[in-house]
Amino acid sequence: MAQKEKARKEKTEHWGSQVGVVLAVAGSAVGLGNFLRFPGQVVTNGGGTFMIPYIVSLLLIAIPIALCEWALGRAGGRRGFHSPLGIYHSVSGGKKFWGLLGGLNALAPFVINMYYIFIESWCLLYALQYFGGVLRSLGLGGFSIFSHVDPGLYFESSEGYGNFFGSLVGISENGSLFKFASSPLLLSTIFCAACNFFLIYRGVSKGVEKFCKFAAPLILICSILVIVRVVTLGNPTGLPGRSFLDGLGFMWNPTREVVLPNGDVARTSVLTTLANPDVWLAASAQIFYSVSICLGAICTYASYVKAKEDIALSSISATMTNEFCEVVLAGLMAIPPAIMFLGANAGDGLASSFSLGFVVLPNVFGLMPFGQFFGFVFFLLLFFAAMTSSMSLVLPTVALFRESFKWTRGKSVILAAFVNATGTVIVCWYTKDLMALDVFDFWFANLAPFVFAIAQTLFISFIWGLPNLRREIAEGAAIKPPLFIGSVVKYISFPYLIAISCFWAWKNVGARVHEIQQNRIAQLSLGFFLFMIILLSVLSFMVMKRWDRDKAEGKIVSENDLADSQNS
Amino acid sequence: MTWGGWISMTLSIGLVTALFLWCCRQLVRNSVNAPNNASDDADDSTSSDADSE
Repeated sequence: MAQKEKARKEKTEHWGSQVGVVLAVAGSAVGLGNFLRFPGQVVTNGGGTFMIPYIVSLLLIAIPIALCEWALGRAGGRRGFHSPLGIYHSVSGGKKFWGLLGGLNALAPFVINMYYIFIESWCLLYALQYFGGVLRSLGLGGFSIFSHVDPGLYFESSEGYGNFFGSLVGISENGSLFKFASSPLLLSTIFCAACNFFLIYRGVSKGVEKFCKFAAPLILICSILVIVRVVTLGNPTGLPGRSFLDGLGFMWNPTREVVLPNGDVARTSVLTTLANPDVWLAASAQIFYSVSICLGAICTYASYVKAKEDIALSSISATMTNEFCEVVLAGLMAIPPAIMFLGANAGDGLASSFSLGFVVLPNVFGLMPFGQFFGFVFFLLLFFAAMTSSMSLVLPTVALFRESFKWTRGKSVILAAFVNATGTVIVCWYTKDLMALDVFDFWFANLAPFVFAIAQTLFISFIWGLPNLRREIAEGAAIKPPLFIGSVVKYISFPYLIAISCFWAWKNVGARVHEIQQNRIAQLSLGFFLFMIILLSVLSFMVMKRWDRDKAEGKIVSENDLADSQNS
Repeated sequence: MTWGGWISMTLSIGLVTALFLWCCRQLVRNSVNAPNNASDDADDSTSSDADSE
C-alpha cells in the first residue's frame, strides 16, 4: 500500500515553485560554456561586433525554440509523460517515427553527461587544489615581484600550468588515470557522478530544485566576488596596455588589427566582420550550446510544470538568466584579468575553453594578489555550474527508463548510473590528447543539437501545429504571451536553422569522417554510439507498442484524457 | 577601450541586464500573487487543451 502511494506520488511530482523551475532550467543552461566558451568566442570572432549576430540568434533561435520546448514538455507532462520519448509519442498522437526521435533525443544529453562529469571533476579538483594551496605554489610568485619580472615570463609560466593540467587529466598516455587506484581525478569523477545521481534520485522538487535554489545564488555570489577583484586590480603589472579597461577593450572593441599573410597589419571593420559567415555560425552555435535547447532537458523539466503555470514567463526568465550569466558575468570575469596579467600573449590561449579555464586563468590566479582564494572561488562556481547542468543531462534518460520499464525512480537511477559509467570509463581511459572526450563532444554536443533542433521545429510547425502551440503557451500565462512566436519558429527559425546547420556540417563533418577512418579511438567511440542508438531504438519501439496496446485497452488514463472526457 | 567598444559593451550588457531584471520583477510579482491563485490550481485537470485529436 505504502509502495503504491509512493509510486503515485512519484508519478504526479511537480516543481515546488515557479522560481524553482526557472532556477533549475537556468541552472541546466548555465555551465562551462557560459564562463569559458563565450569569452573566447567573442575575442576570436570580431569582439563587440560578434554581439550583433549573437543577439539576432538569441531572438530568432534561443527564445522562440526554448519556449516551444517548454510548451511541448508541459503538453507531454499533462498526458502523464516526462521522457522525450513519451512526450513526442503522446503529443504526436502515437506516431512512432516522432516517438523514436524523442527516444534518441534523450540519448544526446546522456552521452554528453558521460564526459561532462569528467570535466566537472576537473573543476572540483582545481577548487580543492586551490583550497589546499597546491596550485598557488606552482605560480611564479606573488604580487611583489611584478615590477621586476619580464612580462614575457608571465606567458612562459602558462607552460607550467599546461603541464599540470596535462598530467592531471592524463593527456600523454591512455589509461594513465587507472594506474593508481587512488587517482585523485578518478575519485573526484566518482564523487561527482554519485552526487549527480543522488540528487536525481531525490526527485525534481526535493533534489534538483532544492540544489538549484542553493547553487544559483552561490554561483552569483562567487561571480560577483571574482568580478570585484578584477575591477579593483587597477594595473597590477604597471605595464602599458594592461589596465582593466584595456582588458575590456580586448574583448569588446568592434574593430580589430589582423596580421595579413604578407605581414602587413590591417584593421577589420564592423561591416567586414558582419559579412563573414563564420561569425554568424559561431554566434548561432554559441547560443545553441549555451541555452541547451533541443537536448531534451528543457522538455523534460517543463513536463513537471503545473498545468496552469506561466511557461512563457518561465521560459524567457530561464533564458535571460542564462544570458545574464554569460554576457554580463562571464564577459567581465574571464578576459580582462588574462589581458591585465598576461597581455596580448594570452590571446592564443583564449580561443579554447579548456585552455582558458585550466591553463590561462590558473596562471592569472597564480599572479593575482589573493589569487589562491579567488582561484578557489572561481573553480567552485564552475563546479556548481557544471553540477546543475549535468543533472539536467541525466533526467530525460531516467524518465525514459521509468516510463519504459514501469520502474521506481531508484531502480531507474541505478540503471542510468550503470550505463553512464560505461561511457565515462571510455572517456577516462582514452585520455591521450583527450581524444575520446573530443569525439563524444563533437557528435553529441555539437552535431546532435542542430539535428534535433531541425527535427523539433519541424515537429512543432507541421505535426503538432501552431494552434496547439499557441494554446499551450497561453494556458496560465500571467504576462501577455508572445503568441507570434509560433510563426517566428515556422517561418524564420526553421529556415535559418537549416541554413546554419548545412553551413556548419559543410565546414566540420568532412574532417570528422576522415578522423573516423584514421583513428582507432574515434572508431571505438562511434561503435559505442551505434550500439547505444540501436539499443535505444529497440527499447523505444517496444515501449511504444506497449503504450499503444495499453491505450487500446483503456489502461492509460492521463490528466489530458480526463480533461478531454470532462470537456466532452 | 575605443568608443565602439564602450557602445557594444554597454548595449549588450544593458539589454541583457534590463531583460533579466524585467523577468525577475515579473517572477516576484507572480510568486506574490501565487497564493491568491492557489484555489485555481486545484482545477488544473479541467484544462481546455484538446490537441490530441
